[in-house]
Amino acid sequence: MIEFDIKLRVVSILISVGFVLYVVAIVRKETLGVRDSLLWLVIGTGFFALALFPRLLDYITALMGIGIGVNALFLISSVVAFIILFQHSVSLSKTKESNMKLTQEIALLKAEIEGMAVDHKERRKDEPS
Amino acid sequence: MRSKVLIIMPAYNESESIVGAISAVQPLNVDIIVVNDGSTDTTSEDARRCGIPVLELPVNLGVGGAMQTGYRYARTRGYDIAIQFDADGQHNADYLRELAAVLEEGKADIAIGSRYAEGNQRGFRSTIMRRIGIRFFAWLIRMFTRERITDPTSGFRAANRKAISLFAQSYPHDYPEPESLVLAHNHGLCIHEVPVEMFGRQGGSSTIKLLDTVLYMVKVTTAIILETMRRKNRIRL
Repeated sequence: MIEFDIKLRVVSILISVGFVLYVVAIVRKETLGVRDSLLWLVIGTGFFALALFPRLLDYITALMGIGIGVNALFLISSVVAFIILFQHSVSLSKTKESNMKLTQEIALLKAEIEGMAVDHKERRKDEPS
Repeated sequence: MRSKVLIIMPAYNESESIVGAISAVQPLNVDIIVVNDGSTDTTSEDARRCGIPVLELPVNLGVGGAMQTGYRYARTRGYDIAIQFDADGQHNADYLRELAAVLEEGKADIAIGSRYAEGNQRGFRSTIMRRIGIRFFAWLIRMFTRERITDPTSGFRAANRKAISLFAQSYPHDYPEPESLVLAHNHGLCIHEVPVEMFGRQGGSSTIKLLDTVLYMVKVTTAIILETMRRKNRIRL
């Protein structure tokens, strides 16, 4: 067991609390959607818990059957980062798809409107002046 | 009964060649639509000056997205046949009737103008590297679909109502030609090739640059294989 430096703990706590508060702030400003914020709130809270109780990491490490705590931390964070990245890729794909549909729709509607304008002009031409 | 035919001409910065392509098809007296894929040059104005309606995509979507816009237009306007015709002048308008005829006679749902179909030795045949790539795709498609297609990258094609409906609903994005054939096969459409002569490009540059060739091969191969693994008849025609 390693004794955790008090300074490191204080800094970690401040950073994680700051992060959670920042997430809440941008949700209030509507920069981030409520749904999308949940994940980051969970991650931020997790960081906060680890900063507050570093022994928690030892417990998790033992549970995972890993020798060194740092390794467990790296493993967990890279797996989480990987999952998030993958999800973003999926939602980017979906967004691209809907973007394309909308772009196409705009082009088709524009043509429709132009056609209506031409019809009007022709109708006016037909009217005896 | 004469069928309603639409020529779809997707164009991205083709101001050098589009007027030529339009005047090549205008004598046929069928409807033409240009899909301007967010060009930054005068492509759209040039087409309009020829009296051709233009579908203006506000942002560049790439060949697949532009093509699909044309198919959606064809579907909502109830066209019987839609023919893809490149604005860069590599397609020969003399074969348009033949492509349409294959569909009108009910021989197929999609007719492809092929540079390599049996007995065809005429015209522009692309570079050796390109040809090897095309042969490879043809082999790949045959392996997965049993469909014999000699020119899977040809963008000179005609589609009947069934195919229009399919492509209006789903069309591959980046390098759509080979992939769209697998898609069509998966939806029970019949594909038929017509030997055609093509020209070299009249202007602009090909969407596939030499340096990107390997990447292109890998992407298209993956796309074809993935397409064969997708659910059959997932789109209602």
